[in-house]
Amino acid sequence: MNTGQKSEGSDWVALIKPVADDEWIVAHRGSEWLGLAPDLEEDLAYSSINQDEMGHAHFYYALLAELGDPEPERTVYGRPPEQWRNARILEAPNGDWAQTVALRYFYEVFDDLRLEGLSHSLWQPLQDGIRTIRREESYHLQHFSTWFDMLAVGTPESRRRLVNGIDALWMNLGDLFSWGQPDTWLAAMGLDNLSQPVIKAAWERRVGDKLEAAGIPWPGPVPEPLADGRRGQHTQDLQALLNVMTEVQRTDLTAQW
Amino acid sequence: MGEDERMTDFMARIASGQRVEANDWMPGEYRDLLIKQIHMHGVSEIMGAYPEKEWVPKAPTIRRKLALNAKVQDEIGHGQMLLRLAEDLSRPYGRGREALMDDLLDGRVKFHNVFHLSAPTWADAGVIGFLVDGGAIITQAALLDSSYAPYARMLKRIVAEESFHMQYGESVVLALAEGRQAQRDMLQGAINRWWSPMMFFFGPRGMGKSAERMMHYKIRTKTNEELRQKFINRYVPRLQALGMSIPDPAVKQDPATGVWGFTEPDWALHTDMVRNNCGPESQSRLNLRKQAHTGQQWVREAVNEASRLLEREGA
Repeated sequence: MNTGQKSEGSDWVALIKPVADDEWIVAHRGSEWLGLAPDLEEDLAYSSINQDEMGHAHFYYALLAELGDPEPERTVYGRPPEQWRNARILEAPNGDWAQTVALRYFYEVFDDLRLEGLSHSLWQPLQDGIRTIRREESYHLQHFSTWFDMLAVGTPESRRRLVNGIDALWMNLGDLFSWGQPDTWLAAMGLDNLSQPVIKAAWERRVGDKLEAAGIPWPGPVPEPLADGRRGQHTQDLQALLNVMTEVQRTDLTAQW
Repeated sequence: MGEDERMTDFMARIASGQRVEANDWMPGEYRDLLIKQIHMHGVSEIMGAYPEKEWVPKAPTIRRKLALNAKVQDEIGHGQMLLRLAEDLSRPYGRGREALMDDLLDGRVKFHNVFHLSAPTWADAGVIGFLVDGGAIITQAALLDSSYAPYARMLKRIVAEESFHMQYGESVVLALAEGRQAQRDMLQGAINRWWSPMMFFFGPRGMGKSAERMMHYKIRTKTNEELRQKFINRYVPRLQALGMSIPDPAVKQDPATGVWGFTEPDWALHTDMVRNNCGPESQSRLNLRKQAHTGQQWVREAVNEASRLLEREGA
């Protein structure tokens, strides 16, 4: 495999695994909204978005398998919580629709910045995949950006719920920007734009503009995380999620399903 | 043209195999029968999403999870399309989406018996695709000749998607049938649970008054018993080929007539379940729908307000 000069396979794993796990977990929580969205039309749209995210996760897991990780099925169904690298905020149980919109808008902005950074990677298969993925993600971002605006200007209740949702999320967004290790290795890969301070500043700028336009007060910089999902430090919510996810499969780990 | 003449003309058109379009004149009874049928069909698709939705987070492989997600989405999509039809037909009554959904929550429109039942294992999630969607294909394909053209056109697409669902269910069922003893037992258990409800699914031998009126107007063209026979004839060999048994000793084909016997389902029990929403999962699933619809009315109000605002800004 040729993954570009200077970079080790383990660097690529460290780069791709958090992305893969974010996409899988966000899609899993998203799929819990099936049949429960505020109207049938949104049920359809949101389900398509979550299916996209699952497809993206599968693409990344397949790349990880090429780098020596187990097959995607085992990576998804066979890991204990401490081996997951997703951000903690994504494993939390769903809030109301306003909080879901806020979370997905925050995540989509972050994912957009991250994909922009990743598109400069020197590994062709990753680059090719990202090109396709970005086409889909731009719709996801547009979708939740529109929802964000509608709830912000809709009614006093929708605005109140949106602000509450933002408040509930804000303190726990920190590890979204982390890579679980010092950023020096990113420089070696020529991916400085993905380093924690750079991507966080870009995110705060974009989200700051959005909040300002909506007349929602800026909650201040996102605090440093107290624990880091990128290091496998997770809440009980991830264990609970994985228990549900593997419930059928665990009845017979070697059976075909 | 007088009312009698229009009626004679309408019936002559139907008799000659012509189709009725949404803007054509139609007798009030015809409109009401269509609303009843399509409304019930639409909400059944929506309520049919819930037993399988429960299994999306638990689907045991990546492919199954993606497929089940897409399948549940399709069912909601069918519900959405059908409600759009019912909304169109209900326009003279001034009733739209909100009212049609309220009817479901208030018990004024019924949904299929099978969606009142529990789906306690992964095998149930497969058997729903295999048997229930398989049964739905039979009842819906019979409506492809419906005299109401918009319904017939929509059913064409729905039946095509349902046949994907059936193949998905078949694939899940096949994996279990070819799997470990525990998987086979789980599958047989699910078949045992769903067989008799499927006999009820097609309706009583003697059809009710509105079903007869629908035959009269060629909204539907096949009897309940014809459809049930088709189902038994299709599924008995399929289940036997999987090495599974049919949980009804009365299921035998008369060699002379080709007619299949079957044990009568508990008509009173299932009728009560559908009429009074008192099946094992009727209330819990209606509560999910209520949570989505009534519980999030604030979201739809916000969207309406925001749209009005944006329109004013644009104007």
